[in-house]
Amino acid sequence: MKSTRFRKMAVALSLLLILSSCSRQSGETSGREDRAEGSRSLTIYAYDSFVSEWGPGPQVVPLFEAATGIKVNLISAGDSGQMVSRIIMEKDNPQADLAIGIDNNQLYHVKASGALESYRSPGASSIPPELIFDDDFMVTPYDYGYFAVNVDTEALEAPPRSLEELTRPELRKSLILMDPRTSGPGLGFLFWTVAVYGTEYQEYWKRLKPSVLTVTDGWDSAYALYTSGEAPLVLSYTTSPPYHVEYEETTRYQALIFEKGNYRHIEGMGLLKGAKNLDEAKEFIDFMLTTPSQEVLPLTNFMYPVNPEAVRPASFEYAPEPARALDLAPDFIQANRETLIQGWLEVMGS
Amino acid sequence: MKLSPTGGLGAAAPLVFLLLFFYLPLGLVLGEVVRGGGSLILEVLSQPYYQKILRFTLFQAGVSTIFALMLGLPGGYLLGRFRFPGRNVVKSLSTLPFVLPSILVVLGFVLFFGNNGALNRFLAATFRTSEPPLKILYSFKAIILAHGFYNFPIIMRLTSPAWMNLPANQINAARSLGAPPFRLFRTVTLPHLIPALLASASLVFLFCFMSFAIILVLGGGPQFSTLEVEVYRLAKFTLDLPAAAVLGLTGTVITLAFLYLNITLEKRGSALLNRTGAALPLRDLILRERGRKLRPRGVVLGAYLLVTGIILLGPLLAVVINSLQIKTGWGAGPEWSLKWYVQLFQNRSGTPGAAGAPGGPVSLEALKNSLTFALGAVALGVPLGTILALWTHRKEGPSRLRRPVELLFMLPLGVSPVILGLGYLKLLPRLPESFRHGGLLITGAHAVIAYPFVIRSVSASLHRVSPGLRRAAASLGASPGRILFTVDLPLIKAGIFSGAAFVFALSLGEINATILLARSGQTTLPLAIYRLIGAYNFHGACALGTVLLLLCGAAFIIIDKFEEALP
Repeated sequence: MKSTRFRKMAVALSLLLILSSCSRQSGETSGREDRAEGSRSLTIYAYDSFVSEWGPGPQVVPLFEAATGIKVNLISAGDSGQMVSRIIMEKDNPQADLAIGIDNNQLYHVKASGALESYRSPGASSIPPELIFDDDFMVTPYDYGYFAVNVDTEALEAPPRSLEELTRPELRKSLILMDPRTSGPGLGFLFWTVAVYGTEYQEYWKRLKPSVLTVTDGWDSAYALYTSGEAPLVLSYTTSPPYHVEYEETTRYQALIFEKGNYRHIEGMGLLKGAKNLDEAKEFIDFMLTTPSQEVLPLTNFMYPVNPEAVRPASFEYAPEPARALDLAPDFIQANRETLIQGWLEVMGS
Repeated sequence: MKLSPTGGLGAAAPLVFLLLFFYLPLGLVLGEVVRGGGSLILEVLSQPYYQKILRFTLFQAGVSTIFALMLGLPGGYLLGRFRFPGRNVVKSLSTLPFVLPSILVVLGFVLFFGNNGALNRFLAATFRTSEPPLKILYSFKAIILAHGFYNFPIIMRLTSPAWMNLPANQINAARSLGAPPFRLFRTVTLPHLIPALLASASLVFLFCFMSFAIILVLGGGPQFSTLEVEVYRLAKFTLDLPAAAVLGLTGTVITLAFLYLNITLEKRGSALLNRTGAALPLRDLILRERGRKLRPRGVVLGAYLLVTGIILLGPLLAVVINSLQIKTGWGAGPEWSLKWYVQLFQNRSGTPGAAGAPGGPVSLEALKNSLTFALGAVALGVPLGTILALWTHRKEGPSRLRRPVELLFMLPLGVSPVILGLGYLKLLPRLPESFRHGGLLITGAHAVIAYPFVIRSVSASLHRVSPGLRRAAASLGASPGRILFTVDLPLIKAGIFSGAAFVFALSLGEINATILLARSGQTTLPLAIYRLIGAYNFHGACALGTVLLLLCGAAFIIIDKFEEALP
């Protein structure tokens, strides 16, 4: 009696699955019909904070739709790691046309997977050459920033001026960092110390360790800890203070430019190879580089626009750009990332 | 016992979700391991680094569980044996930490216990010290304390029905035969408590086993790392999916072994029970006798309520207070303001670009979605869990199969959110395009993630239902359906309701599956909270967190009222 009921259920389940796979095929056909009728559309994958109500997505997309008549389906592909996994997993059968939010630390991995297609937008010629992080234009940059130690000037009077000064004894337990195993900025800071100290980076971390209050899983919790007054110093971006200027009318939080430079973070977008709506995706890349979309970025993504003609808001006066930008080469990152993280763990995890 | 045919059909629909949202994605991840073969498994697991992490993961989960038991067991006793003013409020409040996304739990904890937290500022002002007097955070003990805070309500809620249903006749008989209190406890009370105690302890262990943000942020650094950190790293940063799958599923196998042990012990414990007769009535909690002498028990319990109340409510209140403050300029203290609420709930005006400060007016939509998904998850998950609990509990059929099947049903508890997320990433392109995102999917995923709580709490109650009662009903000619509704359901009512409360809370706080399954523009409260913190607006996130807490508190009070109204 019991077992027959479960058998029926099993049959019902398999039927449902068969049905769903049929409807998948029909879904694909109807998609093709849509295009035949001339209604143009585009599917974009982006990391979640781009898609967020408070991110650039909800402002750039309507501008683009109004300008081109192309309907955009903007999908949150999770956090930036999940988005990269997703485009690599789907590379033989891409489910989107464009991916937004591939950064300089992920670049090599994504390019090597063969998931992307090259496209040089006419707008790319206005981007300063040092920001073109992919000469093959598989990924086109749309914004950038620098990692920076931020200081709460009400809690600390003499802020450090270099990585080395972060190790001063009076800064004991004053700095909040992120784990490079789980956080983009955490990884960026590790690379920063490698860019400055080279093979001596482990020695530097030994000196730095007493200054560290905690190493969080992600930037979000670290920054909230900092604004809650747990520590006067946090790893963040040069573009963090404008938020407080713009929405809290305070300049107490400031970004520090270090003597040997700050590590650069560049974000880009790329076409997905084999995508259905490549032409529409190219139009979106072009549009992202024009001033209307570029001017959305500073106060939604809190990054600098790559297009120098884009006007920055007044609060960006508090987002200083360092005279010297630090980078590690993408192939060096790819070859050494895991070793560097293990080396970091040897110091910090003991 | 048998289920009515309608019950079977009712189970079929949720089972489809179980297959779609759980076994299918999990199978796809398992595929990675199978492709890698034995050599991959060996290669990953033989690394001393992972072994060390695994040992620490087990150790901290064990210690945290013991601490949560210490905090939670007296609470279960208090709720199960006594009447006191505010009893329902305590019961309702206890599930609140679950509803907040873990990032806000961690931050609430810091706002209260941190070096610059409310507790330290209060103590520093009282004792006029400049250094924070209590340095709790950023250490191993902070991890244990936070896990205790987060998890002791599970113990409290799941053990209180067992205290409530202690058999009056046995206790009275033992007392009249002159059994000393300890002997009474060991021979009568303890055997009745063990199933619920183990059930709740195993849940807590699993949660602590998979803990991640609490460990890194509050532990103070990578010297305290759990398996989940490494799974996250491999799945999202190194992008070595096969290794992530091996490590993640190793965790699953360990938790499964633990669950299996738990189910076995629970069954053995329940075999000791002689389940007949009425339950002991609740007593009034008396702090002092008429002669003004303090009663020791009343005082101890009162003190207990105070301490756990501070641990539980302190961090939550800190979130509420933070939502009501704005920072002002130099030197001045924070000001009280409803600014963040106004910003979050005012109407959207003008062009889409005019949302203003991060925290634009999308919150009503998020509130509506969260509520819909949570109610949907309860509607799907509670019947599913109840039916599966009833099914695994029935005594007929081959018993050798029953335990593995029960284990299979409990599996969602043992799979890390990172692994499940990976499974969804693999599953989504295989689904029809129109079915890939949206509310139905989210509801289904929430139900699947939360229903094992219903199984756990219902089967803890079922162990106390005497088979004799069912046999008596059957011999008097009651149909299986009638037995279900007149014998089983009234007796497991408390289990069903506390399961429902957990499903509701877990769904309201869920973020990992939601972020992957939400349609373009679709949002929920925890998703909005997470995005607000990401957009620098921590105060706004606290405001939405407060909304979430109020919503959940109200829902729990309603749930408890319902429970009381039923026969």
